[in-house]
Parts: sequence; structure tokens; C-alpha cells
Amino acid sequence: MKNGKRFWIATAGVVICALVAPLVLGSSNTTVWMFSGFDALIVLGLSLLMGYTGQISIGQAAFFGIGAYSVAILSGKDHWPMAASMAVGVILAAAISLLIGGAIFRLSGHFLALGTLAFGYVISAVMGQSQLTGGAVGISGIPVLSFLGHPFSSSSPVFSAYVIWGIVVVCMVGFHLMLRSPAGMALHAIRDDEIAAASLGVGVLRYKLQVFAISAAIAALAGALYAPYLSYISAEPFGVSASIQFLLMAAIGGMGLVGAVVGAVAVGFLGQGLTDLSAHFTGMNPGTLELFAYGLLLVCVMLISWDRLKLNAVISSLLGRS
Amino acid sequence: MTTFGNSLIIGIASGVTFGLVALGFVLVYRATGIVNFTQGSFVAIGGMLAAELATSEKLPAVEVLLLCMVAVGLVSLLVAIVCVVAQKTGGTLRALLVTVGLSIAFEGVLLALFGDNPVSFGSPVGNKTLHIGSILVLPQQLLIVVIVLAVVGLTQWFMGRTIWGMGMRASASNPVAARLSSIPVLKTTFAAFVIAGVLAGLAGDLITPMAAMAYSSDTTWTINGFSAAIIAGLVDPIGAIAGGLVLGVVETMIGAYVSSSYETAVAMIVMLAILVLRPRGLFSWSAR
Repeated sequence: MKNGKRFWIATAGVVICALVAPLVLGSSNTTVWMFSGFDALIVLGLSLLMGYTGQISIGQAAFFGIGAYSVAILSGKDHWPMAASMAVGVILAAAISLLIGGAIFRLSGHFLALGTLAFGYVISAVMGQSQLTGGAVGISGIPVLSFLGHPFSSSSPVFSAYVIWGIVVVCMVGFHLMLRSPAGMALHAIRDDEIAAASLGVGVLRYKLQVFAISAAIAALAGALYAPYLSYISAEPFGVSASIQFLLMAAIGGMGLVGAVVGAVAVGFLGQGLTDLSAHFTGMNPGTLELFAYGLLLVCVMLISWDRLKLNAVISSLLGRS
Repeated sequence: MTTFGNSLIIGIASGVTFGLVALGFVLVYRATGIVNFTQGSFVAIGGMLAAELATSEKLPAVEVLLLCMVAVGLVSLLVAIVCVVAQKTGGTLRALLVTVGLSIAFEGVLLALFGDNPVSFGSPVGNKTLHIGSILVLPQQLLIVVIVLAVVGLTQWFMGRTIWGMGMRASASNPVAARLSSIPVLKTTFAAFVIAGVLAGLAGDLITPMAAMAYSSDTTWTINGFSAAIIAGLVDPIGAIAGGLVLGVVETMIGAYVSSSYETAVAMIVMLAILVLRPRGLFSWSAR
């Protein structure tokens, strides 16, 4: 199947990049690559949600934060074993997503978007102000995670990059296989025509909730890895602007699985490039170019409506109808 | 008791400004089905521009107000064009994402123009505290309530008694029939956006003497304005003001009696609760 082959070729490309990147990129670029790995996980979930159920979520950063803070609080403060606290984070995020989704999925598209925005904002306010989460100061002293004897932390960026991108590839493959399964066929049906799918007996609401839970779980997983990587977290990367950035990454990538990864990396390096560029303009606030660029980029991407169907058509015509 | 009274006054003043923003949401939503994320940006643009004009150029208050409203009106026309194009090519959800992107871009513009410090300016009606019984009232708060009531009255008259207003309502409820009746649907759509923008800019101009405005304030205003609109039911302009009032008072009360850091979170929780429990909203007495 054409689509299948293209996916595996693209995945091979990602694997090659993952193997090569930490070796050829300089140390600061490797850090960007590293953080793009976390973003890629989150955006994989978001792309699944947006691409296959058509639901916009402006609250993924909240799930990212739930995973991170679960690990920080349980392992950092209460000294739980890492595996347990990570599991709690993922399950908690999934449970909360089912609660929220169950409440607002019945409503139409833009209400869901605003419901997720509301949810994301409340969670980030609680994270930034509650005693439990350390308030504005955050939580530090999160224990180190080790894989095969090597620490997964900012002190060893190359090894950590391999770990996180390994997980990204595993998740990509996992999602792809899921989409090829009977459940995945149902998702395709929902994406193409929700009403037709419902009339054929597909439990649309149930699938939407499940995909939402999956997207929440993978975002929490990213958070659960993020916390020990930095060994310190505060509420700042889990707010509404982060959620909007994830949205941008998914939109640029065309809401497909490979697109999610491409979008995450593209926006990550774009952000770094803009920061470097604005350093050349003295007196300009560092955030200005980023805000402007991200905003216009999102607008342009949306206007060009670069979704998978169109992308496939463009690629087919470029390859001469292979 | 005085805390209650003072908080009530503050809540009413901020609530009616939420109502102005909510009114804009309702107008655009009824006309196009788009939830316009740049409403909050219009408030921030209006407020920061007003602060700049009042403090640097030292223009009189009325001129400041008019210039702000015109400027924001032009910006909202631009947003309207982009939104309509986005909606035609990609549907309502894409238009929503376009407004999200535009609001971020506007943040960048405000940051570039006015820097990252919150700005405010002196109230044109002075700072002398008035006393109603034991309750303290600032003249600006009275000004806000008076102007908003006037605006609401104007809007009611416009929507109910002028050809333009009735045309907007017709286009909103049935665009095809409206077009067949030779109502220029596109123009009324643009009009809805511009009116919404002008009202938001007005809100910004009114509230900035009382609460400093920063380049990133747009998120809070979008959230508050939209929550107010949801509470009211996204149907009726007057209901939007009422929804704003409810929200403003609840927020200020929570802020005074529980904790001031959770105020906007309260807006979100109330909005979520209404979405879940009574999606029609509290004030949707028009037929829908």
C-alpha cells in the first residue's frame, strides 16, 4: 500500500536522523534536538487527535505538566520509585482526559477547543500557584533516571537524545500499526465522514475519548521523562502558549504521524534560529520575533490548509504518480 | 460588609467590560460561527494604544477614545478578511486556528511597539474617591458603567431598528435567505467583526486606567470575554452584558474572599461548568 511504504521510508529517515544528529550537531543544537524529542511525543498524540478525530486541543501542555509534576512530587518529594511515579502520571493524565472529554466532547468543535483551553489554563494556574507543586518556584531535586546504566539527564545530552528519540520512533511505529488495525480503520472512517461512520455502527464518541486519552497519556509520558531530565521543573513550560506551540507543530506537519515529528523539529529549530537572530537586533525584546513568526506561520499554514490528503496529492504529483 | 460593597463595585465595573468583549464574541459567532480569539487582542491593542496616546501624546480623552476605536476597527477589518478567506477554504475550525495565530502575531506586534512592561494611564475623570454610603467608588468605574449602558442601548437600537442591524441579524440566522433578499452578507459579516473589534477596543480604553495592560493580556481578556459569552449563551447581545456582569462579580468576590491568584481560573471553571451543565447558557432567552 502506497501510504504504508511512504510511512516506513519516512520512519527510516527519522531513525537515521536520530542516530546521526547528536553526533553532527553542536552542543547547543543537540539540546534543541533533544527538546524536539519531547515535543515530538506530545505532537504525535495531538496529531492523532486532530488528524483522525478532528478535535482541536489547546490543552496538551497541561497533560505534559501532569506527567512532569507527578514524577516531581512523587519521586522528588515523596521518594517513590521512578517507574511508579511515571505510571501514576500517565494514568492520571488519561483519567483526567476522559473526565474532561466526556464532559465536552458532546459539544461541537470550537466549544471543545475552548474547553481544552479552559482546562489548560486552570491546570497551569494551579501548577503555578499551589503549595503542592511548589508554586512559582517549582520543584527541584528530582532523582535521575537511568537507562542501561547511563543517566538520562541534561548532563549527558547525547545519550539522552538517543533515548528520547528511540521512544519517539517506537511510538510512531506503534501508532502506525494501531492505525492499520481494525480500530484504526474505525478512526479513518471517523476522519473521513463522522456521520457515515456513526451510521455504520462506529462508536464515534468512544473512539474520540480513547484517542484523547492516548494523546494525554503520551504527553504525560513526555512530561514524566522531562522532569528527571532537567531534575527541576516549574510551571512555565506547561502553559497555554506551550499548548499553542504544540498546535503549531501539528499544523505545520499536516497532522500526520511523520508530520508531527517534522513539525516538532522544524518549530524547535525555528525558535532557536529566531532567538539567535533577535540577538543581533539590539534593543528588541527577545520574544518579539518568535511571537510574530509563530503567529503568522500558524495563519499561513491554516490558510494553505496543508492537510494530509492535499500533501499526499502534492507528493504523488511530484513523484510522477508512483 | 464594606469589602463586599467595594468588591461588588469593582466586579460590576470589570464585569461590564467583560460584557463588551462578550458582546463582540456573540456578534461574530452569530454572524459566522467563528469563535474569534483575537477579541482579547483587540482589548490589549485598544488599551495599550490609549495609554501611549494619553501619556506620550497627551491627547484629550475623547480623541484618545476615538483614535483607539478607529485603529482597532481597522485591525479587526483585516482580521475579518483573513477569517472569511480561511473559513471558505478550510471551514470554521481552521478559521478559529487562524484567529489563534493572529492573536499570537498581535502579541508580537504589541511587544515590539510598546515593550514588555504593563502600561496604564491616568483616568480622564480623575482619581478622587467617591463615597456611596461606606462603599468606595472611583469615578472611572462609574464612567465605565455609564458608557457601557449607553453602548448597550445603542446596540439594541442598531440591531433592532436600523436596516444594517436587522440585516446583520438576518444574515446570521439564515445567510442564504438573506442573500436572496439582497442583503450583502459579506458586508454584514465584516460589519460584525468591526463592531466587535471597536467594542473590544473601547473596553481596553476604559479598563486600562484601572488595570494595567500588557502585550500578553490578550489571553486573559479572550478567556474572560468568551467565558462571559458562554455563561450568557452566545445568543443575545444583552445577555452577553449580563453574563459579563455575573462573571465579573463572581471573579472579584472569589478574588477578595478566597485568593486573588485564581481569578481567571474561576472564569474557566465557570465556563466549563456551564458548557457541561447548561450549554444553552443562563441568559439565552431568544429563540435558539
